[in-house]
Amino acid sequence: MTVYRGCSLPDDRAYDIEGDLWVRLEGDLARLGMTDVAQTRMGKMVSILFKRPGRTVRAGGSVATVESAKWVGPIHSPFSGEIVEPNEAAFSADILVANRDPYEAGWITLMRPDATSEPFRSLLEADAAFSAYKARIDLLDMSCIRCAD
Amino acid sequence: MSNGALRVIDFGPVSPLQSQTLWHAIAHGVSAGSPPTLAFMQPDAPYVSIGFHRRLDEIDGTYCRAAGLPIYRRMVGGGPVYLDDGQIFFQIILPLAMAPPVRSQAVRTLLAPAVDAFQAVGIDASIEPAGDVVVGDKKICGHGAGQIENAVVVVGNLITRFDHTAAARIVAAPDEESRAEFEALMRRYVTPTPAAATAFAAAATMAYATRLGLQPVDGQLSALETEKLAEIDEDFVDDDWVRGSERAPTGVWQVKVKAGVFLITARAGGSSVRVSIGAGRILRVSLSDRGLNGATKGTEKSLIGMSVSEASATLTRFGFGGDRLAGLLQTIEQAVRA
Repeated sequence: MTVYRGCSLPDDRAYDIEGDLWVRLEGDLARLGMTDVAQTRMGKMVSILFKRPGRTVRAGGSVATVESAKWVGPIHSPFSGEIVEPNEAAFSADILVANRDPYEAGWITLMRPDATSEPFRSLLEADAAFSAYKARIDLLDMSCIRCAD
Repeated sequence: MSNGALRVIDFGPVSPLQSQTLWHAIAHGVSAGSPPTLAFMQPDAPYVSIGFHRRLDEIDGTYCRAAGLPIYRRMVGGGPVYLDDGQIFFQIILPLAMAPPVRSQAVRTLLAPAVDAFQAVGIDASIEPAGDVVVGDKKICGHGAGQIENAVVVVGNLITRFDHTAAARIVAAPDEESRAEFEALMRRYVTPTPAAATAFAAAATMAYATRLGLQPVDGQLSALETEKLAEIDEDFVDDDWVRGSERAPTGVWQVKVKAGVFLITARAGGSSVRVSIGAGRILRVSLSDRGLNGATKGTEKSLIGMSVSEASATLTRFGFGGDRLAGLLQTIEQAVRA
């Protein structure tokens, strides 16, 4: 786990730096979630609407729509694929779950990536991801915060 | 800051539908390469709009149909609102990269020029820490924000005339007492700021151009935006779009008057609590439970000024009826915190 300006970056997954997403491959499936940077940028979530299981999503398409600070915005998938399981139960129980725990309990959706499609943006792993993310955090001039309660 | 153009489009009076769809179409255009854009428009008839994530049954659809009020779902946040020709809408639409990275900061930054414009036309406006544009403690501008493709939109309005009664009538209140209380809270916390629309638009154009470092240029829709507008005009009247996605009921009826001011009603097993909350404190409360045995008025009075959790703790001392009401207040507290 790397921490930079309060932003945690676990080393067991890949990152879509520009999209502020993490991706963890699990067999032929991929679990997507927001990074610490993403949940900080978003602020306290007030609502989320998931794409349903079975729906296909193109690279760059929306897997969920989130609302915070009267702002509605999409979460874009970095690759095309099929929605397998949105994390609806966790967000129904606690809408702030991604604000508290973006890398584990607050994952967004499980997808089956389309093996034939090119990634929308190249995913970076480990050291390459950390150095790219540090540069992005500096560019954004931000520090990460989590919901405590 | 860029030295590029700020496209300015003043559409003037438009239909209720296009007072929503025009700026959605512009957002698609800006995402595809159109310049940053400031738009103005005024609906030429009353209607109701609801935020993207909200339940349609928050609106009294039966009333709206009978009153001839169309309902449109927008791609920005917030709850159901009544809109009419007493309101001049403005939208600032930018490429995503031009907005500050943190959403709350982006909304505040992109409302700041609007505050400059209010001040320029003689309105002593400011932005509260919670984000509302106010004069004193009264909200004067509804706002919402969103990301549409790779464009950011922040919308707001100059309210020259506000029909508090109509605004309270369109919500699906659980009873007429709740509706009356909602209207009373809006009269207390929401106020129009009469100003000339042309003067406000000129001031806003100057303020947005200055703060963004752009040159204002009168413009019009691009071909792509015109094409997109036709699509969105169809999408926005589609029943499925208006209905929105299924969402579980929250268990309480809640309306937000302005940031930090709520009216919430909770009911269970023959007991009910209606509470108005401002700045975390109870402004007014109405209790109903057979266990109160005539102590209702005194109890309600004693809870004013307390936080909801303090009121809940107090009510537990009233025995079984108090426990029921305290439980409802705990539900209300969870709703407020969410």
